[in-house]
Amino acid sequence: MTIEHNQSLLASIASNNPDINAAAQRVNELTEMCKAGQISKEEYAELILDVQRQVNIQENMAELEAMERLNIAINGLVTIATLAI
Amino acid sequence: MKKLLLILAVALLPGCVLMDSYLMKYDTNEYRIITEIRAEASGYKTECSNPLMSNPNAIAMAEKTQFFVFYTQYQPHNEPVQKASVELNKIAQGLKDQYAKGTQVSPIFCKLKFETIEKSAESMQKVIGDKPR
Repeated sequence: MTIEHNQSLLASIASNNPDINAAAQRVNELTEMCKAGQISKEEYAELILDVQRQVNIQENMAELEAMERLNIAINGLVTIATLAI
Repeated sequence: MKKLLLILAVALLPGCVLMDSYLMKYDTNEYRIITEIRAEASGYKTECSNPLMSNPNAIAMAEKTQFFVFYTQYQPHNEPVQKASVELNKIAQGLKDQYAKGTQVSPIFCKLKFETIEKSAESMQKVIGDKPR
């Protein structure tokens, strides 16, 4: 398994989720920086982990956003139901 | 009384997510801390070329994000922020650890780390700010 193989795998990612596309692009950029010697291999490994951590943060924030919408809907329905009684 | 019964009925519906959605509230302190993390990361990223500043800045950011983890840890109905704060702290801790090893830390690594913290904090700030009042 070569770096080039993994980079072509990254290039083939075309998700409907913009966060996944951004993560793939970010990993590719970091790989190029490592190949060019701008960052060490150890730093590269840590930054790659950060991409996964960012995806985890985005997922949790998407969940919170959905919960906020649910809250608005529930409160709206409770208000309507209360007025109807 | 009828309203109370309705609220209880909603709260007793199955699923913690539904209950969490109904009971979660905007928290001024939570919003303030995540804003401070974003602002500090934004400032620290400009000081990565200065070795006298970059290491203390990394330590300060790791401590601040750890504080945020502790702040959110036992807040009820707030699991997504708790999980996200742990991930944010891991990002900051990774920079602090790199300096602690005593090896040369490249300024670009430091800058990329603070940029990641800044962007992540901004995305969290946006959603935390939208919590129901």
